[in-house]
Amino acid sequence: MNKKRKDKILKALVYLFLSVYALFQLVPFYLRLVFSLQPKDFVPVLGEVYWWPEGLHFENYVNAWKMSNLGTGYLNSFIYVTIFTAVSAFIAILVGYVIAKKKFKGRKLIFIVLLATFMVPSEVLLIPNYIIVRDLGWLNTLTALIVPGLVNVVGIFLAKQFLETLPDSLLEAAVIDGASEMGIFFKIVLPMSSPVIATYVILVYTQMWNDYLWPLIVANRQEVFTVQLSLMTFQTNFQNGYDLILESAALILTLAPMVLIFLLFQKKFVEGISMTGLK
Amino acid sequence: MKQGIEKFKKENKVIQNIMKPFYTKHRNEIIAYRMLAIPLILWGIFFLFAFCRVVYLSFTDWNIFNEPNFIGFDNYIRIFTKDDVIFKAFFNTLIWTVLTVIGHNLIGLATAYMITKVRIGQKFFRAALFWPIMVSQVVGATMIEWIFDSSPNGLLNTLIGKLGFGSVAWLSDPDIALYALMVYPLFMQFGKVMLIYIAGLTQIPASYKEAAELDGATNWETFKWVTIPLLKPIIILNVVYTMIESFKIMGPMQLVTNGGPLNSTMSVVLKIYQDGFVEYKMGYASSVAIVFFLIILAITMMQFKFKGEDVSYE
Repeated sequence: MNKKRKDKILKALVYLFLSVYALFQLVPFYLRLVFSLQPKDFVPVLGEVYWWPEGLHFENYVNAWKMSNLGTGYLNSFIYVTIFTAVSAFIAILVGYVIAKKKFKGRKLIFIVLLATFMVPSEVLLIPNYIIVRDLGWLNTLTALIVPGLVNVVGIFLAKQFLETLPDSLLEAAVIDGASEMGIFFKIVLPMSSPVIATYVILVYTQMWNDYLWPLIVANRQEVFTVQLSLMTFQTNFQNGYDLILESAALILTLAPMVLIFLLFQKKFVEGISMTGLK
Repeated sequence: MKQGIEKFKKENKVIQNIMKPFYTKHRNEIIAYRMLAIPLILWGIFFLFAFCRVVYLSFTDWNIFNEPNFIGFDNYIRIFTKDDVIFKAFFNTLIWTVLTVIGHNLIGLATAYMITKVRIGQKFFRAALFWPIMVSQVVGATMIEWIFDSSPNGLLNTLIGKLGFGSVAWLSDPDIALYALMVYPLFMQFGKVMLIYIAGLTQIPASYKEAAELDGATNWETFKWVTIPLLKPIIILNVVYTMIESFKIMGPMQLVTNGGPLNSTMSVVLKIYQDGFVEYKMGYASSVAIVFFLIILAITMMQFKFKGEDVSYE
C-alpha cells in the first residue's frame, strides 16, 4: 500500500518536472513573440517583463520582412535548399542502391572509402572547398551553396541499409520483363524507397535551412543571402526600442517554418534521428 | 580520305571484337561504375581532393595573395609554441566539451527516463522537450544576445533585478562570458541525445525491470543496477557523439561575442575561421584544421575501441 502511494507521488513529481522544463524552454521564445506584436511606439519599462502585448500589431512582420531583406533570404533559401535536398536524395538512393544490390569489383572498397568521410568534419574542408568554389567562379552564386555537399554519406548509409531489405526477386522480375538498368532504378527502386526518402528529406531540409557557416563564407552579396544570413545582418542595426520589436518579428519568421515542419512531421524526425543515431 | 574512313571502321571493328569479352566479362562493373560516376567525381573533388589540399596547404605559408611556399612543419611548431590565442581556443573548447558532455548526457538521460515512465502524454513531452533542436544557430545567438544582454534590459538582468540584484555584464566580462554563452545550448539543445536515450530505454525488455521489482528493488536500485548497465552501449554512443559535436562548437562564439572579450570565448573552429577567412592566413589556418581533425579522429577511434564490448538483451 505504502509503495503504491509513493509511486503515485513520484509520478506526479515526474509530470511536474517535465512540464516545468517544457515551459522553461518555451518562455524565452514566447516573450519574443509578445515583443514582436508590440506597437511601434512601445517603450519597455526597465525591469518589467511583458507577458501580453499591447494590441496585436502584425504590421511589424510586414516591416521586418521588408527591412531585413528577409524576402530575398526566404526565396534563396527555398530554392537552394529544395534543389539541394532533391538532388542529394537522388544521389543517396542511387549510390545506396548500387552498393546494396549490384555485385561488382570494388564495391566493398567504395563503401569503406565513403564511410571514411564520416571521420572528417566539414569544418576541416572549409578552406580547400572555398578555394575550389572560388576557382570555379562560383562565389556569390546558389551553385556554390548547392554543389559541394551533394554526396551525403549519411543519406547513402540510410539508403543502403534500407535497400538491402528490398527483395531481389522484384528486381529480377523487372530484368526478365526487359527493363533497362535506369528503368529499374526509376520505376522500382526510387518509388520503393519513399519511406527512407521522406526521412532523409525532412532531416536534410531543416539542417540546410538552419545552416549559416558555408553560406557566410561563399555568399557575400545581398542577392544570394540565405534566410539565416538575412537575420544575421539584421542584428547589426540595433538602435532603439522598435529595432528589438522588428528583430523579434524577423526571428519568429525565420524560426516558424522549421517549427511548423517539426510539428507536422514529428514522427519522421524521431524515426530519422533514432535511425542515424543508433547505427 | 574514303580509304582512311574504311580503314578506321575496320580497325574499330577489330578493337570492338577484341574488347567484346572485356565488356561481357565486366558487364556488372561497367553498369555499376557508370551509375556511380557523377557521385564519385563530386566526392572526389569536394572531399578527397579538398582533403589532400588542406593537408598540403598546412605545410605552406599561403595567404591567398602570394604563391604558396613550402615551409615544412613551421606552422605546426607555431601552433604548439608561439600562438597564445590557439592555446586559449583549445582550452575554451575543452571546457565547453567537458561541461556539455556531462550536461547533455545527464539532462538527456534523466528526461528520457522520465518520459518513458510517463504513461499519458509521452509523445507530447517528447516533442515539448525536443523542439529547440529546430532552432538555428543564428536564431539561438539572437536569443543569447537578448537573454544575456549586459544592460538592465536583458532578460536575465531584468529577472535578477526583480530579486534585488544589480545588473551583471554577462557577455563582456572575460571571466564569465564563456559560461554565459554555454547556458542556452546546454539546457536547450540536448534533444537529439534525449531521443537516442529514449530509443535505447524502450529497447530494454520490461521483464528485466519486473524481475528486479519482484526481488524488492526500489526504483533507484532498478535504474542503477539494471537500466544503466544495459544502456551502456547507448551511453558510450551518446558520450562520443556529444564530445565530437561540442568540440566543433563555434556558432555562439562567432555570432554573439566573436571570440571576445580578450579571446575569452575563442574556440578552435572559430580560430580556423578567423585565421583563414578574416586574416587570410590560409596556410596557418589549414594546419590548425589538421590538428583539429586529428583530435576528432582520436575521439572517433575511441568509439570503435569501446564498441567491442557489446551488451546483448537475449
